[in-house]
Amino acid sequence: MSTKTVRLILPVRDPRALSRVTPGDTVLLSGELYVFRDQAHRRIAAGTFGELGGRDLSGAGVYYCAPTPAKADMPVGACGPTSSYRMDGLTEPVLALGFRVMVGKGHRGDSVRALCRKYRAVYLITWGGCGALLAGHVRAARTVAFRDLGTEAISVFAVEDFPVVVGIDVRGAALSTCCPRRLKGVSDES
Amino acid sequence: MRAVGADALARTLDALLTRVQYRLPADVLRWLMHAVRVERAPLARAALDAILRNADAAAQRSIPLCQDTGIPHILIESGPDVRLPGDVDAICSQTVEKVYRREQLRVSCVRDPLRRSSPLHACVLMSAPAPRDTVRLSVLVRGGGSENMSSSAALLPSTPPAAVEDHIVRTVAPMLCRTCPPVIVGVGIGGSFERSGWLAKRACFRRIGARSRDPFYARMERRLCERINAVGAGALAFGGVHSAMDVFIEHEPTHIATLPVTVILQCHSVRRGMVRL
Repeated sequence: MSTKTVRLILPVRDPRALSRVTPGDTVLLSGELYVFRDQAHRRIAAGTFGELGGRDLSGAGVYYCAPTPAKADMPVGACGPTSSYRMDGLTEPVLALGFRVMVGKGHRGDSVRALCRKYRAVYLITWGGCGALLAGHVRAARTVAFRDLGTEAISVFAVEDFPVVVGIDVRGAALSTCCPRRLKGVSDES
Repeated sequence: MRAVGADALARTLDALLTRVQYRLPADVLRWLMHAVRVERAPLARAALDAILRNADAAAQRSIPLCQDTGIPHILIESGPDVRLPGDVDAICSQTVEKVYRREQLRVSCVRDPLRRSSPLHACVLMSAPAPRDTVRLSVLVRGGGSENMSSSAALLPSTPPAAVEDHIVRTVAPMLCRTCPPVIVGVGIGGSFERSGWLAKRACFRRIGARSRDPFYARMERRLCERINAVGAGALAFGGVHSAMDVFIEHEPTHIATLPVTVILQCHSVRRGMVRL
C-alpha cells in the first residue's frame, strides 16, 4: 500500500479533492470542522436541526468529539475522538445534510462503507486518546447549536493541520486493520 | 488500631485524582517508549509516537490526557487494624465533584441512564481487604470507550483452561478496533456473576508486569498477552504487534455448576495511581 500525505481545506468545495485520497493516506485538515456526536446525531436523524438549519453544509466535516471545557488561555480543552461505530446507524441523515468528511476513531460497519460510496464521502481516523495533543491543532471553538446538550452540543472548531489517516475512501475501500473480520483469531464476528 | 482521618483521605484522593488526569504512570510510559522503538508498522509507529507526544502535551500544558475524563474508580484496600472515617462514600463523592470542577474536567455522566438527563460527576467505589494496618488508596479513571469494551459470559464448568483462553482471545480481538489499543486486559474468572466483573475491573488496576502470584495463572497471562498481540490490530488499530500492554487475571472460588468469565479492556490512557496512607 503506497501512502501519501495531503492537505485538505474544510469545507471541501471541490469533490475531486476527496477522490484523491485512499486508505492509509495521512491528511492534514485545516478550516472549519463541525463537532458533534451521539445525541446530536439522534436529533438530526429525527429531523430536528435546531440552529443547524439554514447553514450551508455542503462539503462540511463532522468530528465525533465532546471536548473538556476550555481553560483560560486556550480555545478548547482536551479534544480527542470518540468511537465512531456508535454513529453508524445515524450517519446517513448527516450526510444527507451535505457533510462529506467524518472524523473519529476505530472501526465502522459495512453500512458506512456503502454510504461513503453513495455520497462520495470519506471517513478519517485521528489519534484516539490524544486529546491534549489534538488541542494544539484547534485555533478557535464556538458552540453553534443544541446548547442544551452541554458537552454534546454542536460546535465548530477552526483547525490547522489537524492530523488524520484515511479509514474509508469515496469508493468505500477501507483500511484493513480497522476491520475485525480480517484479524487473526477472529472467526464469525459480525 | 490506626485511624485514618476524613481530611487525610480527602486530601490524598484530591492529589491522586488530579495527577492521573495529566500524567501517565511510569510503567506505562516505559512500555510505550519501548514499543515505539521496536514497532515496524508505519502507521502504528506514528500512533505510538502520537500517544507519547500527547503525554508530553498533557503534562506540560495541564490539558487532560483524554477528553473523556471518565468515571473515576476509587479502590480502598484496608486491613483489620485500620479505622476509616464512617462516611467514606460521601468523602469520595465530594472530592470527585471538587476536583472535577476545579480542574474543569468534562462532565461525562448522566443521572438517568435511559432519559440521559442531569449531567453529574459520578464515581465508582470499590473496597477490598488488606493485611494488618495497611491502607492503599488507588484510582483508575475509566473512559466510556473502554467501559463499553466489557464482556461477561457464563461458560460451562467443564470448559478446559485452554478453551477458556480461546474464549478470551476471541472476545478481545474484535474489541480492539473499537477502543484505543494498546490496551490492558483485565480478566475476572470465577466468583458469582457480578463478582467476575469486579475481579476483571480490579485486574485493570495492576502495574504492567505484575504477574499473578499463582504460577498457573501467571503462565496463562503471558500466553494470552502473546496471543492478543499476534491478532494484528496494533496501536490504535493501525496494525503491528502492540495491541496489549499486559493481561491480568484475578480469580475466585465459584459454584460447581458455574464458570463466569468477564473481560474488561483498559485503553492506553491509563489514568491510574496508588498511594499508601
